[in-house]
Amino acid sequence: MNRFLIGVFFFLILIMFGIYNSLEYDKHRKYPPLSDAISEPSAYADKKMVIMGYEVKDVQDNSFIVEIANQQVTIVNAPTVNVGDRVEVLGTLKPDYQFLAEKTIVSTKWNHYLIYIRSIIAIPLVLFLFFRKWRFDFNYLRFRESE
Amino acid sequence: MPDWLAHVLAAAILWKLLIHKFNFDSKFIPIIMVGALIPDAEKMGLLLYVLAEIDIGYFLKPLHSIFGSILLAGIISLFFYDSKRIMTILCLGIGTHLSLDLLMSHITGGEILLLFPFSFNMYQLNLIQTDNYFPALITVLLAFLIIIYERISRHNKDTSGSS
Repeated sequence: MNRFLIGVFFFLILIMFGIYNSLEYDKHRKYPPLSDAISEPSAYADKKMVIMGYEVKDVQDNSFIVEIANQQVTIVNAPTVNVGDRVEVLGTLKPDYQFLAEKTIVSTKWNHYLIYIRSIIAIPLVLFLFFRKWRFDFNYLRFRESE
Repeated sequence: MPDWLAHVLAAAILWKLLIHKFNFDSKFIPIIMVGALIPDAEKMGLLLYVLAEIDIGYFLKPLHSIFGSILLAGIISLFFYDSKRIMTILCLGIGTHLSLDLLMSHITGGEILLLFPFSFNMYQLNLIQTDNYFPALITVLLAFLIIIYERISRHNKDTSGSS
């Protein structure tokens, strides 16, 4: 019973953390995301904003296109990228959904996929090692050492 | 974030070093590995978004902070008999995870809400790009070196014992 109450207490604090962050996060962020400006771009004109982890849809001369909330945004003053790469861009929004890049981090398509592949490999590794040493006791709802 | 392979292996390597130094028990290696994945429980939000387009990213983001991760570790530790010890080991895993994540770079200068709920400041050292495979490569190599070293030591012990 004591264990149950402690668990509920921790869980409720976590819920409060989540609610607090949901309500306050936008007020404290350094740069607003470009997705905030899609419906009302004039409100964010010449304001420094960020694009986080969007996929490059098309590449043109010295610019490329990403799609944010079904709106195509042209990133100008950009480094060389390829279609499928993931980008983080810091810059300012200009008219006609042009985004003047100040700083860009590019993650190539395959490097991006490899993060997920390396992460997926870790899951069976941890599960295998865990259940080799520990087993779940359904009577007491606790893990105990395997004999 | 570096990939999960780097996270779990870094935690396992730390525990192996502690085993050599303090004679800790190897049965806790998977526990520290689980601890090293706790801060990334926030990635459940990504999964939910991809599968059902439900965006609870902001709600789950506190899990990737020191206090949020410790609370989740507290809940997990309640499912073990020796809760206090398991909690400590899970926290060590959380420590390795957040330390590795601090090395990463983001365009904003930092994406980790380290001290939430006391501060919304985001921290990061901006040393390695998130898709860099070196953390995984280094931890895999170190893990292999430790396995080889342990095999050789065991073999030497066995042969000296039998002669």
